[in-house]
Order: sequence, then C-alpha cells, then structure tokens
Amino acid sequence: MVFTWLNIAILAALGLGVAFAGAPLAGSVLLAPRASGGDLRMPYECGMPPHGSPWIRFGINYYFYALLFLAFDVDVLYLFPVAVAYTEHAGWIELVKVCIFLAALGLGVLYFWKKGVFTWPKKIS
Amino acid sequence: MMALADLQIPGALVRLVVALAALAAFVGVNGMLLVYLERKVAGHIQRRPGPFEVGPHGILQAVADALKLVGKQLVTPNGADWLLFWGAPVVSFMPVFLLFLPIEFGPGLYGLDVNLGLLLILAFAGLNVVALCMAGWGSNNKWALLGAARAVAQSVAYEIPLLLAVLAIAAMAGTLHLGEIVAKQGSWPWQWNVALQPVAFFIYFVCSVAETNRAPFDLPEAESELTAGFHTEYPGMGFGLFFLAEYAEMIVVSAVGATLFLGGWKGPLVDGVWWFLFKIYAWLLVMMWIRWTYPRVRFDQILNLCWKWLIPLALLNLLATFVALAVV
Amino acid sequence: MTLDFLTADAAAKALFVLYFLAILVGGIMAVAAKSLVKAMLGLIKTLFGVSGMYLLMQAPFVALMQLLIYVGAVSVLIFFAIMLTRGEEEGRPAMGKKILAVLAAAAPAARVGGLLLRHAPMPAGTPVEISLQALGQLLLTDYVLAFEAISLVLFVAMAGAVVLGFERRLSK
Repeated sequence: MVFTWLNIAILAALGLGVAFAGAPLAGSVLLAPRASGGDLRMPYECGMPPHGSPWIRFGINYYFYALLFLAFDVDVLYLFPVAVAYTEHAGWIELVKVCIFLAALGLGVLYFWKKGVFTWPKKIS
Repeated sequence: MMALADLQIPGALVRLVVALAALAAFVGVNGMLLVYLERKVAGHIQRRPGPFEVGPHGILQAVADALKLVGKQLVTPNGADWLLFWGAPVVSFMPVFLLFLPIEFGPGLYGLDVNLGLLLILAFAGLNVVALCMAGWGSNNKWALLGAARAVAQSVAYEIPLLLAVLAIAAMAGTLHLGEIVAKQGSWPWQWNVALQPVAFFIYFVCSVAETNRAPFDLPEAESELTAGFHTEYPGMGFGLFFLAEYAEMIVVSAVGATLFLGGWKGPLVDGVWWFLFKIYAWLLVMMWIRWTYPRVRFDQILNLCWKWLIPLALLNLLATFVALAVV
Repeated sequence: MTLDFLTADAAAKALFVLYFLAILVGGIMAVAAKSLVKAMLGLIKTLFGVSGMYLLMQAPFVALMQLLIYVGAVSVLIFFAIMLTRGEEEGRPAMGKKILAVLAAAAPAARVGGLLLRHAPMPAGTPVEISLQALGQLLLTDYVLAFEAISLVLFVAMAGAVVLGFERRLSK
C-alpha cells in the first residue's frame, strides 16, 4: 500500500461536494414551512390520482443500447494506453495493429445497423 | 518510516485546500451568473428583456431565486424511497469539485497535478448517470422513471463519440495530463488543436450539448411530454441542486473543451487565465444560443444521430489521426 | 505533542480501512436491500471501495477505469435489466432459500480463507506506478494478440446479444 495525495484529493473533493449540496438542503429543513395533509404528497400525474405503479416493465431497447455502450466502453479502455503510447513510436506495423482493432469496432456498428437495431418501429412489443 | 512532513505535505495539501476553497466560490458565483445569463440570453433571443425587477436589469434575480428555493418545503412523495430520492441530488452534485481539480486555469493554476487528469474527469462524470437512476426510480412517478431512462440512454450513447474524439487528441498529445495538453498548443488559433482536429472538435461540441442534457437534446426533461422528466417530484432545493449540478457540468465540459481544442489559457498577445475564462464563456454562450434557437428533436433521432453519424465519424476521425501520426 | 504517528504508512493503512469499510458496507447493502435499485447502489459503493484499493496499489489507471466502466456502464446495464424485470420483490424469500444462499456465499469464502491461512501472503514489495505509455507500448508489442482478441471478443459478444435478444423481439 502506498499513500498518494490523489486519494486525499478525491476524498476531499467528494466530501466538499456533499457538504456543498447538504447545506442548502439543511437550510430548507430549517427555514421552510411544514405543511401536511391533503394531497401534498401524492405523486404528480397530470392532476389525477396515480394509476397503478410506476415500476412497470420496460422494452428491451434500452437494455440493448446499454449493452452496446458497455462493449464500446471496454474497447476504449484499451485504446487509451495505446493512443498515448502511439505517438512515441508510430510506425506502419503499429498502424496495422490499431486498424484491426478499430475495424472490429466499425464492423460492430455496421452489423447493428444492418440488423435494424437502430430502427424504431411504430410499435414495439 | 517517513514522516508525512517529508512527503511534501505542505505543497500538495496547501494547494488542495486552497483550490477547493477557490472552487467552491467559483462554482457558486458562476452558477448564479449562469442562471442570470441564461434567462437574459433567452429573453433577448425571444425579443423580451428577461428578468428586470430585482435590482438594476434584474442582476439580483438569481439571488432571489436561490432564497425562494431554500424557503420551499422538502416534500417527499408518497411511496417514494427516501434514501434514493434525497440521495440523488446529493450524488449528482458530489463529483462537481473533483471534475474541476485537474483543469489548468492559468499558468500553474491547477488544483491537482495528476497524469491521468482527463480520465479522472471522464470517470467521475459518470456518477451523474447513477444520480439519474436513483432519482427516476426513487420518485415513485412515471414521468420521473421515463425521463431517467431516456436521460441515461442518451448520456451513455453520447459518451462513446465523446471518448473517441478525446482519444484523437490524446493520441496527438501523447498524454492525458491536461496541463501538458495545453503546453503542446500555441498561442495563436492556428496552433490550437481545433485547427488540426476540426472533426473531433465538432463531435466533442455536439456531445457536450447532449451530455449536459441541453436543448435540442433536452429530451430527459422535455416539459411538453414528460412534465419535468427525472426531477418532476423534486421540490425547492432538490430541484435546485440538480440545476446547479447541470450548470457546473456545463462549465466543466466547456473548460475541458477549451483545454483540449482551444489552447486552454493560451491566447494571442497575452497568455493567462482571462483567455481561459473568455473561452469558457464563449462556449457557454454558444450553448445557450443553440438552446433557444433550435426545437427539440425526437428521442429516436437523438440516438440515431449518435449511433449512425457521430460514432462512425468519430471512428473514422480516430483512424485518420492514427494514419496521419504514422505517416508524419 | 508530536505528530510522529502521522506517517505515510499510517495514512495508507487508514485509507485501506476506509476503503475496506466501503466495500463491506456496500456488499451488505447489496445483499440485504429490499429494492433492487438500492442493491445496485450498494454494489456501486463496493465498486468505489475496490477502486480505492487500486489507487492504494499505485494503479490509478485501473482505478479510474473501474469507475468509468463499472459505475458508468455496468450499473446502467443493471438498471435497465431491473426495469426489464418486475423491480418489486414478491414477498420474502423462503427460509430454505436463505440457508442455501448463505452456504453458497460461505463455500468460496472458506476456500479462499483456508488458502490464506495455510499460505501466508508473500510481501510483494512496494508497488510502483507504471506509466500509461508503458502500458500502451506493451499492448502494441508483447500483448498485441490479447489486444486484438479483446476487440474481436467484444464484437462477438455484442453480435450474440443482438441475435439472442433483438431478433426474438422482432419475431414476436
């Protein structure tokens, strides 16, 4: 274990963020009126009493976008060190290596496009 | 064993404490300023004066707004999850100061000297997505959940072209240290990265608008269809914190954009922090101009713009960058 | 009064305890929470603790990537997965299930714990931070096959998800 100031900096900055956010909330608790009763706490749904639970099941579309994003994100993880190292010894062999990597990513996008992941039909079951 | 004093505490710790205090003031003042500026810009674009009552030309309007928000009762809706509901605005504001720490505002004017500065900002900016999930799920409100789902899908989608555009700059600079990226650029506009990477700049700019959920990409809180999106149920200061975090994030994306593409604090004639602030505010004003000029797009259009245009474009741009680096 | 106890070593140990507690509390929250989104929150807390551990091991790149990918992407995936399911819990789990769950958790813990007791961990020396450039250089030279395989594997994973889930959606 090695102590670095980066640890402290991250913790202190996050702590300050929480304090900065907590102060006005605490101010509201102290200053604001305390009304209750009636429909004050009813969730808003265009004026009527809410119909059913909001925790419905969503379509799988959103899940796909999250999945594609995750895969791309992991790819980018490996591109960061490579991109930074690339300038120092950029040659044709390195270029080919990086090209293969990027080609797989590009092919992925083309494949989804062809499969129709990006088309939104009027009705999704 | 080394005593802490030998580890140059004074230097690093003093810098950190001073930087955090300065940033707290900076975020507070600029948040207020931006609220006022946005309303004034909106007003003038729509040929009306904007806020005019509180103070001369309404300059105290933001103060009045803040006091009004603090004076509102914090109502938790029925059936809402208290921890998720009130944790969300705090989590969305939590990383704000950390995002500013690695940015070099002027020569030697930074909070934290970290080699992976750019990555630090990108990693902790992702916390916003968690806050959106918490707010959407915790509110016990259909609008909130729909808005959160949209907001999350949108901000993850636009993170990819953003990362790919940033990678092109990282490949050129050979570092992720924001100070060094500035140092590699010159003082005149044709020596900035934007001259070499116009496509990456364009992609970054579009993503910066989309990531901060601003019009024309403000689908998550589209008031005409979703009431107010993920913050529908938030009263007073709960909403205020989301709002302040959004403005702080706008400053962060424009500051990072100015660092990566516009030469940071370097500018013609006299380098210095004023150039940096000028660039940030120019960026913010363009974002406001766009917001009050263009109509909102549809949700499938947002996602398709990203997946069908920006991501292939960003991949090609990155490829071209690698080719150029290998040839030159 | 002297401040001699404030050594860098002690500071590192204090941070270790802090991150350890974050992992532990997050883990308990993830298991015990009634709502799935709260469980996800506990998981995120654990991930932050793990990321802190990487920082202590002088691997800031891994620490930040842990946050970028797990907090930024995997938690989103989990969130949408929760929205695909019911989200609410249907009653409390039966006692038999609970016992099985505890057993399933205890088995790997006992195995790892036993190994640790038998073989004391070797002092690995002081970790040294490896620069991002060096990492990238290795990925382009010694580990280039792994580097290329990653993009291929991810492509196959994405394509598989589309074939399994998306095509079924259309055929419905």
